Amino acid sequence: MFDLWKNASIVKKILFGVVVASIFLTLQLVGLFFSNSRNVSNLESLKNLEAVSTMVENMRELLDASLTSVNQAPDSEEELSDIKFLIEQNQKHLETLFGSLERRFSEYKEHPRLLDDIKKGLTNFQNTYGKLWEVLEDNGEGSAQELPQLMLARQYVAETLDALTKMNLNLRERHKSIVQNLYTYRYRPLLVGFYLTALFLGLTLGSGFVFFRNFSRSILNLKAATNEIAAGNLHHQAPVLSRDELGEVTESFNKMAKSLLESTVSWEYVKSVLESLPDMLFLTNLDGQIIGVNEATLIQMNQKEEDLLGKDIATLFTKDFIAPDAEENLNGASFESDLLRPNASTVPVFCSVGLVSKDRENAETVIYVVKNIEELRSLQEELELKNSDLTEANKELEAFSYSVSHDLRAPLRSVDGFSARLQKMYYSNLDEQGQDYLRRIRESSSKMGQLIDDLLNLSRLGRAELTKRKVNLSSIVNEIIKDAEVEPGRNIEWVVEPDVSVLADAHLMRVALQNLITNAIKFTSKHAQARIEFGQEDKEGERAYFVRDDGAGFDMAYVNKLFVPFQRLHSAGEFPGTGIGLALINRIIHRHGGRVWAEGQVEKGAVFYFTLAN
Amino acid sequence: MLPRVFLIICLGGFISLIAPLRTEAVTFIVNESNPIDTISRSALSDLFLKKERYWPNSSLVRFIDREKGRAERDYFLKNVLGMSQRQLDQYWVGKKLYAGDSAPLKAQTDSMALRLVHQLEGGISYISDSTEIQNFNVKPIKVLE
Repeated sequence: MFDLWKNASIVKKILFGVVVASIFLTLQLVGLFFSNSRNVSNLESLKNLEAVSTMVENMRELLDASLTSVNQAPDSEEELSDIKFLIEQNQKHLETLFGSLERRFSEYKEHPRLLDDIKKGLTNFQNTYGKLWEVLEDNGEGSAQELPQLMLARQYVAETLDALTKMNLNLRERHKSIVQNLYTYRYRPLLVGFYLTALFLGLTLGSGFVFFRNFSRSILNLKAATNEIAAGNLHHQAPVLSRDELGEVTESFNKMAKSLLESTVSWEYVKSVLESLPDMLFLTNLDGQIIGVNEATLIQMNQKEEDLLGKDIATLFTKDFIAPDAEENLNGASFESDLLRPNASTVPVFCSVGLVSKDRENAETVIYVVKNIEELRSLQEELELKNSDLTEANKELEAFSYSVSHDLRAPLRSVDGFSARLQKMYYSNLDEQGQDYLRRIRESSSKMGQLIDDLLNLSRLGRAELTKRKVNLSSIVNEIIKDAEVEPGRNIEWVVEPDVSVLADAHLMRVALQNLITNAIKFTSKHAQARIEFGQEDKEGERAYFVRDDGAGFDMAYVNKLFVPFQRLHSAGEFPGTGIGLALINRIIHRHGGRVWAEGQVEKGAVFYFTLAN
Repeated sequence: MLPRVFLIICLGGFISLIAPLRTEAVTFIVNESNPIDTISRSALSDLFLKKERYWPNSSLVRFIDREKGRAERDYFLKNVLGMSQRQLDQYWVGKKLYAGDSAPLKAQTDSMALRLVHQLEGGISYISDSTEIQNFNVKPIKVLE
């Protein structure tokens, strides 16, 4: 029952209240009706009684008049006739009144004999006075008082009068009883009305109090919850006291608070985040006056909070400070400066500045996140020093490499020249073993020459100046294909995507593509039918250019060795080469800010991808 | 001696109890249709004073009194009602007021009393003992002490 009430809507509760109040009102009316019914009945009886009493009185008066007439001694026939007429008229009235009395008095059953007595008395009187007239008319005047008929008439009238008087007395008793009853219960309707009103008013006020107390509690709980949330306590939930509209509002409010908790961070949370920051944090107003600091500031400044609060933040920095009044340029600004400590020492800092506003329009607070970069600066200086050393070493290494390559070329040229002359002039003088040795010297000097050329190229490419312009890679590839030396009998299917253009150094790109195409021709040489493809595609969000072949391929386990100089995955006997080509490609692509990589499978071909910086 | 005297007294008392009221002046008469033949003095008093209003046969008691000053009435007041005339008058005033009953009619003569009892069903009256009643439809009743 209680749950039913709790779950009912406010409209239903009010309707219920109205219905209950109506029932109470109806019950009150019914109660008043029943409490007053006795009085109404008594009043009706009283009215009836009055009517009966009046009839009885009238009958008594008529009988008295008849008796007076009978008692008169008529002096003449005319007087006798008048008396007779009067008595007969009275008798008619009496009969009529008795008829009415009989009907009315039937309600009062207590004395049925009285009515019978009256009826008999009237009948006897009528019979008697009829005989009395006859006697009077026969006997003449003056002797009526002596007649027994007159006495009989008197007797009957007296009997009837007695019965009527008794009836009247009974009616008076009854009248008295009714009046007494009316008097006794005169306040009953008023009291019943008062008690019922008090009872129903009490019930109505009680139920109304309970209803409005719950109503008021719900609203006060909501108000308290609103204040809690306004104060930043997003964990607060208002208690749901009912399932009516107010309960639904409370539940919605709680959901809103929960959503706020999930989507917003509380001040405590923000404060804990700020406190946990390892960097110093200053909050100032727009005048630059410090209004808050975090724990890290107090530690690093070695100062108390009250010493910092209220200070002008500009006084803490020795240089390059961005003043808060430069509002339009302030948000997101940063500067490097030296922070002045209380002991007059300074520390290099990097400071980020931000504006904090409540309504996202009018900034009220400036936030300074100050990072101590003393260690960073020292590391940076060390790094710069090392970088300088490294650059110097690289330069020396390149110079050395170039010098070595260049210096090696002269003696090699002598070895090559003299071995060529030896072969030309004295080849026939050498025995077979000598001829073999000479041939090997020639081959090695040629190979060494190639190696020195490649090394020089690599060294030159590392130092060469980049001249970037729009380059059509497809045209370069087509030209390379046209000039390519392909063994007779080989059938190569070329697939070149047209108009692949990039912004790059045309000479270097030609070198890189030359190497890639040459490699593809070389590593498909074991296959009578080959397919070599050039194109571009998106790889992990980058535009990648590729050269794909279906040649010998390679084992992906050794993919890291591919671009290292002089590292080869195939023997020189199987596929000739110096092992510099892919290292050269790698350096060219790196100088363009891109990267290069390869994918392959043994005997299923290889794909070489490269990207270029935008 | 004493037992004999006591016996005589008791016998006399018994005879006086069962014997009708014997007076030298009054005879109580009722309408012949009335079934009673005897009546006690107190019952007679109740009938006169309208304390009892109906005979055993349900007919109305119609007591006919006699005019003041007559010997029969004095006798009736003294020996039956045990009241003086003043007491009786007061009684009827009260009776009229509180019960609605009026005093019975009074017949001036024995003859009138006889005639009225003769004609009234339930009629009762008292007359001189010497008055003849043979020609009337009445009968005497014995009044028991």
